[in-house]
Amino acid sequence: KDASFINEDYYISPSIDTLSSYSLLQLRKVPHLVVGHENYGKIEFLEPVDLTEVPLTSLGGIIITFEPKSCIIYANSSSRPKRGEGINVRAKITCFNCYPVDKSTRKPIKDPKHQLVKRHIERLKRNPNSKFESYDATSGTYVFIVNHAAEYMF
Amino acid sequence: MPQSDSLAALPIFQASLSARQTPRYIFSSHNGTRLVVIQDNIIRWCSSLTDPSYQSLSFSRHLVLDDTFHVISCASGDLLCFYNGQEIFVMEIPWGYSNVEDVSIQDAFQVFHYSINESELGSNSLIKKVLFHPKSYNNSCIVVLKKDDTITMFDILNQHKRPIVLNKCNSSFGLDARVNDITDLAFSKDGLTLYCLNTTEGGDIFALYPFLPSVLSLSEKDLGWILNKSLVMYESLNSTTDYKVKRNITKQLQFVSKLHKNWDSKLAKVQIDDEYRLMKMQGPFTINPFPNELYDYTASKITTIPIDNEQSEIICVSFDDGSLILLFQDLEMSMSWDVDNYVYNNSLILIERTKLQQKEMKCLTTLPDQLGKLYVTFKSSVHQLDCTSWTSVLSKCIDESDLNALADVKFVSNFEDIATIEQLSNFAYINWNNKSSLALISKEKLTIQNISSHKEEQ
Repeated sequence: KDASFINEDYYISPSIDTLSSYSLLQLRKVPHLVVGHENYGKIEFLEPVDLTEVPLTSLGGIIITFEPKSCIIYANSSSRPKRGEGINVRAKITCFNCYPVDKSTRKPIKDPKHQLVKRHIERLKRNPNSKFESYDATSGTYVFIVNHAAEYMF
Repeated sequence: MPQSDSLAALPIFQASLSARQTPRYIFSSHNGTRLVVIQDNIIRWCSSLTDPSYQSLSFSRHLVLDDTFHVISCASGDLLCFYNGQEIFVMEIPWGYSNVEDVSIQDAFQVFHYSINESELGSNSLIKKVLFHPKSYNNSCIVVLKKDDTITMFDILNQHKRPIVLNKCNSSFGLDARVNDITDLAFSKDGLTLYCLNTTEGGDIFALYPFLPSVLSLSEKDLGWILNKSLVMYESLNSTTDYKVKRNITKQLQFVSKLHKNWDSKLAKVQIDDEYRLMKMQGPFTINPFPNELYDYTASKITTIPIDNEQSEIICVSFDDGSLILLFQDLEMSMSWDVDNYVYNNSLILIERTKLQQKEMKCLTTLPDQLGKLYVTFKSSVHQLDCTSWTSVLSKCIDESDLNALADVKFVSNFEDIATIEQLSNFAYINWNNKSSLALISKEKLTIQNISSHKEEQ
């Protein structure tokens, strides 16, 4: 697959080389953009994104950052693209290791048969501003869809 | 327990003359010797229970109480706060005044008003809970939890000052990005920590530490206490300490030294810069061992129970199956301001779990001078959880740095019914003729219940 690392942790697909070869017109509507972090997860844009105003190398780690169990977009920026502009479009986000947590130790509960798992999934389904797609109790992988990737959540 | 009828006969308790049934509330301060009763949109107060007369002030021009309102009093008894989802009113009780007929004087007791335009801001911004900051100088700080899980500090004596908003919304997706679903707040006994109970994962405790008003009321003893704590933590740092922890503890020592330098010894207060009032949540705390059964239930309330005249306390959390868990903080937290998802020494140990028969607890309350005792309010009754059989031993062990006495202790509290009253509004502690009583009030009824411990009666 056509992908490349932006830095140690973050990768992007299509690769930086491919994106750099795009014409301005092509860059306005980049389909299937994926930005991911090796250990924490990835975001797949479900609509074409406009990358003409975005420095490509800052996509992973600056504009889009991943932390354990979460994905933050435009963390340190007061100006965000409007709905439908730039990368503020529908996207599928995958977060790794989103296991329920043992309250005595704060360690992840990896047993898919544990009493907490069912409740954990119910809670994921109620997660604000995101539409639940799937949760794999064995790997702890949580997938959900957001309508506008770069918007404040309430 | 016998009723103290003569206390109930005090004029301040006389029922309303109007046929209208308005909410009634009762508050006390100064160790149960000052009393405030609210009925018919009138504040009645009497400053000495031996003096049969009371004073009154009508606030109906400003606010007509209905059942949507909650009413709280600050610990000193000088201010009342009335709030519902949309509005907050803070009024001063005219202690010392005997005639407040003049309208312009009456207006002067309206200290603060805040309202939310729901159509503009949406139902998410509605008010969920309000607390007075226990260590704000002149009770000038109120803490407001909203439905959007933000926590705001208002300076009620200086309305030009911009409120401080904590736990703001952010643009994170996933889990643990921000503390959501906060259901209750409680201050630590030293007043520097705000515990937040959230229900996203059933029930977890987070903390804002230090949680400071713009002017902090701080005694010399408490100042010495936090300075010593900070020094001990600073000295415990070594090369293996996480750099975030190192940074926070160093910052804590700098901050506390600054407090020491700027402290006003005459008024026992210190000004706090806004930069030290903006902080992020730390936690969640470990609750060890967490009862497996409670993984199926949801936490509802949190409170702190003082167990000695120093800083020791028990944290109590209720669950919707009627359980109460009593927790002790065994490690010393560090102050933290700007680190996301900071966890360091956020540890609670479970000491006791009791299960009550009724499930819908309305509130958990502690009373002045009633160490190790918790009052649990249901819709129509008040019960007392008496933990003194073990909290007295625990506080002694902490004081003497000797654990031996704990070996024989049974960690079982005594639960007893105090009183039943239909549609209970609230209750207050009254100290009258050297007897401790509870005055419970509803729209229609007042009940006085003696709660003097047996030892005191002998």
